[in-house]
Amino acid sequence: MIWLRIAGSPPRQFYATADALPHLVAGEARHELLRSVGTIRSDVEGESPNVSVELRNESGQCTALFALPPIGAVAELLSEDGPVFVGVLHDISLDATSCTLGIEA
Amino acid sequence: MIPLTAPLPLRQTTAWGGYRDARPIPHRYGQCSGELLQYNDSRTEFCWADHPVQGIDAVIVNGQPAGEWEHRTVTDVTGRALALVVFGQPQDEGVSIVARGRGKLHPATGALMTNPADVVWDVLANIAVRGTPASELAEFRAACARANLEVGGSIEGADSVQAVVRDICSSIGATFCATAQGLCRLWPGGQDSAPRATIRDGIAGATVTLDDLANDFTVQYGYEDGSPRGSVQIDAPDYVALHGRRPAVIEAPWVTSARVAYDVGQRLLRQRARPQWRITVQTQRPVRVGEVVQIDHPAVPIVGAYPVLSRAYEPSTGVSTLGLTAPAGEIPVVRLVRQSSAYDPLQYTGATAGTSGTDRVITLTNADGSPVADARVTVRELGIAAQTDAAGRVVFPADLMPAGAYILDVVTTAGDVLEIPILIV
Repeated sequence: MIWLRIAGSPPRQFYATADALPHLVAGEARHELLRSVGTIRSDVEGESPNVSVELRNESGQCTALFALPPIGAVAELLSEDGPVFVGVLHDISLDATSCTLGIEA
Repeated sequence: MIPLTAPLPLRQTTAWGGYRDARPIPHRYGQCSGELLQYNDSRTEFCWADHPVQGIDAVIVNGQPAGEWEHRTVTDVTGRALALVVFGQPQDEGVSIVARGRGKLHPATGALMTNPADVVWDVLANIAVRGTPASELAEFRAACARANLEVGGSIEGADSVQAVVRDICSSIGATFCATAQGLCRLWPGGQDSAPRATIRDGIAGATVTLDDLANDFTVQYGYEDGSPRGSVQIDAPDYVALHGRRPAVIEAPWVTSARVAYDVGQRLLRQRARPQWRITVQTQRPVRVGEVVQIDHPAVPIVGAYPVLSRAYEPSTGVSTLGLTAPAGEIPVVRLVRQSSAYDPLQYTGATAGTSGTDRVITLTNADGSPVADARVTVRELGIAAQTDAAGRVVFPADLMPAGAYILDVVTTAGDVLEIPILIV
């Protein structure tokens, strides 16, 4: 189980199912919008480690949340075992149904 | 936290009250040289680094040693400490002014930063302000110290954070990956930890190509003004005989000594003179880049433990596809072919060596080119000592000093204690 935390202003946490709720940081905004997490790539010679995360946006939730986009904020993919990936929110793409976040180390 | 792909945020000369040209203000480490940037309007003050430095040893104006100058640490209008060279007379417009010296001091220990791990940490933690703790690079630091690896160089441009760090690492035969265990590791070579996983089955593949083979390396080092001041050529004669001579040039801009260049070249040659199997395997184990896996798979022609160089992790399945490189064949014997230096009478405090008859003749010079006369010189590895003459020359029997890398411990008449690496060809 993985969830996303963006340490913006305010911090926000995105999860897929209610199973994640006990693990989330108390007192921070929570959104059940996480759809999928892409491949996390790391390479000593290739591009900087990065990952794409897709959120649901059917009702424009992300469009509203990211009206002031928290790009440059620290973004963490977390699991019950601890951090899976820590980076910086590099880019946000929105369309009618989804929101794609690009996170780079 | 800035991403690794972002330009390293160097300050610009425009931060000062007045400036000649808008340029990034350099950061300098270890033994290095670099152009001075005009600091005051009257062209008597020039900036060498955007921080205090251990010392400036020589100043060269249009290729000639400058007289009447001094090194000062001053505070600029923003409150930042700078390393300045202050001349007694204004310098002409259009002249080339270069200083050689010893760069940044470690903020905790006050020592000159020459361990590659310290330099990488300073770039990540203090220039890029990524919050990287020094402890994260502790293993790399220890490995570099064990191998006596030291670096020197300058950061002068707007390269990305990752490009700067990889430039430092590639100069000494090391890798950097932000998600790797310990961030950096020596590779090839370096000390491997116990394997995190053993791969015996599952999806796996291996490829090998002639394009990866190189058995004759020229390592270029001691860069000044973008050009190497020295080079070391080494080869693997057995593999040259087997595959034909396959040369490669290794640019090592952060290496300042022939000894380190030789060490780096040796490690790279031992790997690349042999065919390299590029292996991909899959595992459900949480293995990180830099960690070691044991390969014992029927589809892979190599059995052994190797560090992970790449990883693609699928969170939906928990499966990681790992990339490794494993050399095939015997570790080659490495031969030192030659060492050469660019024509330049002015060098760092250093040594050049030659052979005359049955003697090794070593000449020691100061940073301004003057001889280090009447100094006691001990060859550390051999425990033999002698004194330099008025020309800075000292002689050791060749049969006691075979070809290889040595460290000279030098005590001058002024009481200075120097440690000078040297390569005997």
